[in-house]
Amino acid sequence: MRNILKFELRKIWYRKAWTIPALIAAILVLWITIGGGLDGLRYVLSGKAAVVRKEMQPLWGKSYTQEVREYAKGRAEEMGIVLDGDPLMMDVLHLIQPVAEQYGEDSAEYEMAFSWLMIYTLPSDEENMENYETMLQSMKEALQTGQISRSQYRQVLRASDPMPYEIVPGSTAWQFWLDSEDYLPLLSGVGVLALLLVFFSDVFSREEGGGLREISLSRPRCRQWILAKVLATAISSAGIVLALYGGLLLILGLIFGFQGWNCSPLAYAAGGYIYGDIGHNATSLTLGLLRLAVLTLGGTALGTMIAACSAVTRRALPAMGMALLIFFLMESLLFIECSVTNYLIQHASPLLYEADFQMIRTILTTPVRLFLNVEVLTMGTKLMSNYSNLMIHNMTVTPDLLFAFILVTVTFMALCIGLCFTYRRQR
Amino acid sequence: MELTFKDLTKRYGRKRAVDRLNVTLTHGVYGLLGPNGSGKTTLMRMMTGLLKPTSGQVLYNGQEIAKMGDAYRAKLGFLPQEFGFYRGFTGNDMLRYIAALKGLDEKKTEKEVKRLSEMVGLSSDEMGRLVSGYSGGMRRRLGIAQALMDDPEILVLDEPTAGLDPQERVRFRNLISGISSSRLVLLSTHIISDIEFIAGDVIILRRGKLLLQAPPAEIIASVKGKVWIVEVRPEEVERFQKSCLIGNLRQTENGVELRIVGDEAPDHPDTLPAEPTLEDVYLYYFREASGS
Repeated sequence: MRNILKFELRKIWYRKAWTIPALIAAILVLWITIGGGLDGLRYVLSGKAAVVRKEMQPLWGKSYTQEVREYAKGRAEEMGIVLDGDPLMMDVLHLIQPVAEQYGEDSAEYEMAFSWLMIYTLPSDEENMENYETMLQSMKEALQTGQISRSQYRQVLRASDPMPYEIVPGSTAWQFWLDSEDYLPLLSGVGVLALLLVFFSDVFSREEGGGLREISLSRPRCRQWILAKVLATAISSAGIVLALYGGLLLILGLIFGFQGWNCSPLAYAAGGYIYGDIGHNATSLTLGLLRLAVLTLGGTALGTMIAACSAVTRRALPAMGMALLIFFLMESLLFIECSVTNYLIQHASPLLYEADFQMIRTILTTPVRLFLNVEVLTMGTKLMSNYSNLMIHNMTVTPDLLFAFILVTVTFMALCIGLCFTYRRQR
Repeated sequence: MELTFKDLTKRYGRKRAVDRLNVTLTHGVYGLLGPNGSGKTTLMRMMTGLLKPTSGQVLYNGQEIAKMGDAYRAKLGFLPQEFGFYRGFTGNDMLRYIAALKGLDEKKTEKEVKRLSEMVGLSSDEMGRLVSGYSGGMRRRLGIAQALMDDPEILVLDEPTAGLDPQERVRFRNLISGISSSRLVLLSTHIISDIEFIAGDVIILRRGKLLLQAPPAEIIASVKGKVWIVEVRPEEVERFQKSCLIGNLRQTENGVELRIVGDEAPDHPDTLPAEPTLEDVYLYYFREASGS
């Protein structure tokens, strides 16, 4: 078994396909380090990250960070630092405090956005400013009457507090790129997913037509062969995920500093929102390593799933297609789960926000969380985070929840391994 | 040792790939001949236990191989038509991998690797090189080596000499002849000369059925009197191509020499009878497959 495993590992690792991601990585590193592909001043966001929404839809096609920067560029000459002197904005800010308390929020800094960004599709700043002021005025009037529902309150929140930021000219391209929360989880997720698909979609299919299946293996040897392939896949996918995200952790730490592993982009890149720390810093080395472990487990499950698709379809491209289909099905499940839970929380009794009902929320969202360690590796990471924010905020990681993660992931892997054994000798 | 196909049939929908085949094989080299689609590969896959027959049995010394299971598989060595090698594997790695798959321990593995590489004529330097750098002949020899791993009693070779040059083919033939005395070797090929020189018996399949099974000399004798040579003018060639099955066409000083296979002599005064070969046999029995 050991020898077979050794050769199966070699089949995966000794491949020219590694040159492609290595080349892409090298080009990316050079591009970011030397040029960054950006010109002009670069801006670093300080303080809390923001979620930008319009009627519960995330902004498509433009990152909110990019929006902020464009806004900052446009307003920089006038004001320098944003909106301190904007009386209309300050009025709204003051009015929103009691409403926030009414709904059990600590402060209006819970979620912040620029309202005008929500309607930003127009080319001229003057026009945008007019719309912005009109909206703020109407919100101020609504707040002054005191007749405001929870969903209206949410809309006001989104239209009110400014995002504090600092213009720091000349930040490095690495800081800029890594600080762009939009790109980091998406690119890392896409990159990992692509790598896993390329390397494991032909674990079984490469044996088709190669003659090795035709060699008359005994039954126990055939089982060992399949098991060795599964183990090789699991070890390799864990290695890829660990290397990528561990490497990312190191880069972030080197760039932003290892202050108890306080790296805000890490919170997104390493799936920080799983633990309720949306936009907050990773607070300890233990938590960071725990995230890595969870991601590695998820990556292993993903690799095993792709190998199972390879065993079922016996062809690499259909295996990729099947694996992607499963991803999107999982995403849809998560989408539905998040939407349903979100709806319940939004429209049901505010009691749901009481501590006593945290268990109910935990149960409702556990199926979501159970796959999130795999979800972070998919393209839906950024998409889902906007929804998962609502349910996962103020939830803490508990041992039983972690155990549930592990249990379901391991069960999922066991199912995939079972599927791999359908790769029989006879047709 | 006796391997028997008893009313062996394999159906795919309405098509019978192998149709009630009854053949008994013992020691020696058997050549399996037939055009594409005649059932050769299907027969070999049933023989190696990779395919379940629709009906009938494959018996080893009277026992059904399906019931023997791993005990039968331990006696088999198989070189499939398409045998791929893995990037990054040397010749030694490949044989060690196969040995691991066959469950050999490390000590026996090293012995077998050494023995087989010598048997197939691959030096230790060549065995230490990546298989991706091997010539076609070297790869085939490595394939035969893996098929001979752990000294199987039954050896099944599917198109083993495809793509080899004449020298490699001669080397291969000599190798097979050398190992066949104590084994049953079933050799499927389109290269007639491979069978003609080394097969003790030739099995000809047509549309899944057994057409003939006999030593090469007997099979060749079955088309005696059906092969002719005639030298014609160039402008006559087209006429003969339309009316006869031409086995060979050769330019000569005086015209074109045609080798014709058929039941009736060609209509030409210079027609002479020729000694048939196994290739003539193939053309004669499969003339519809060749389009004539």
